[in-house]
Amino acid sequence: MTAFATEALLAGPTPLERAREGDHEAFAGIIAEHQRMVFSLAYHFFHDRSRAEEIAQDVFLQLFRNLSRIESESHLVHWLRQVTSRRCIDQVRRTRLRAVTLDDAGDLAGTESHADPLLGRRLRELIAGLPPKQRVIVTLRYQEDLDPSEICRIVGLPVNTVKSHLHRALRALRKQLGETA
Amino acid sequence: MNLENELKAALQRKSPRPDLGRRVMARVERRNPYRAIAAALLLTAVLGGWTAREIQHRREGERARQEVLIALRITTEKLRTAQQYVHDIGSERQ
Repeated sequence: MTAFATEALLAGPTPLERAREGDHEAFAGIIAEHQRMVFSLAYHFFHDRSRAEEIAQDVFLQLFRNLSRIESESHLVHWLRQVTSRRCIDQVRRTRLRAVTLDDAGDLAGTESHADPLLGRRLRELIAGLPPKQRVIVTLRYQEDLDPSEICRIVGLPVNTVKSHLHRALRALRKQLGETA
Repeated sequence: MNLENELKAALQRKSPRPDLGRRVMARVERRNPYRAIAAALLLTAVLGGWTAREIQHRREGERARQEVLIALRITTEKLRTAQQYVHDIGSERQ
């Protein structure tokens, strides 16, 4: 037995393994660890706190029902990003919603170190006006710091399509910022 | 202005309300059918056990009552026979 395997055995089951076996406390720990990522993906998509929290709750409930399919911690993160992104796009498709309200943006407990808060607010407003796929891709790129090869696996599009969406989104944002500047 | 840096700053992760996890867990508990089934099975087992014991007690009581009735019937029969015997002896002497 290798030193790594021995160490893994001594460490005991991971929170994911414990949650899979029905340990609710372990599942609550998983939520606590990933809720900012899931909530923020939905929040940056909708710019609506209630809707983002609703999506986050639904994503975690779906996770609870699918715990047996999650193979590892990295698979869990990928799964959460994928399901959240798809839920956001699906909800827009169903309701044709383009929420741009920013009334509650100031209340959010973020750690924003933006030099220009007005520019940040304007950017979020402009992102909320992008087509749904571009919105998801921009959020995954700049919130989650993923490159197009990782984003394409989450959104299920060819990497060149992702690059093209990203390029178009940035061009649109530059243009709109230029117009409002 | 570097747009990519501005986007990274604008799209930093935000925190949801602190009770998000609690609300999810409440929904998990509500939706977990196994707990409800386990509770129903436990209740059925307890009620079933209590009912079976009650039926057993009633049967035992009924059996004891029947035995007492049979004993009384035999005693009555014996007494009647003895009374008849005494009556017959009295008749013969007269």
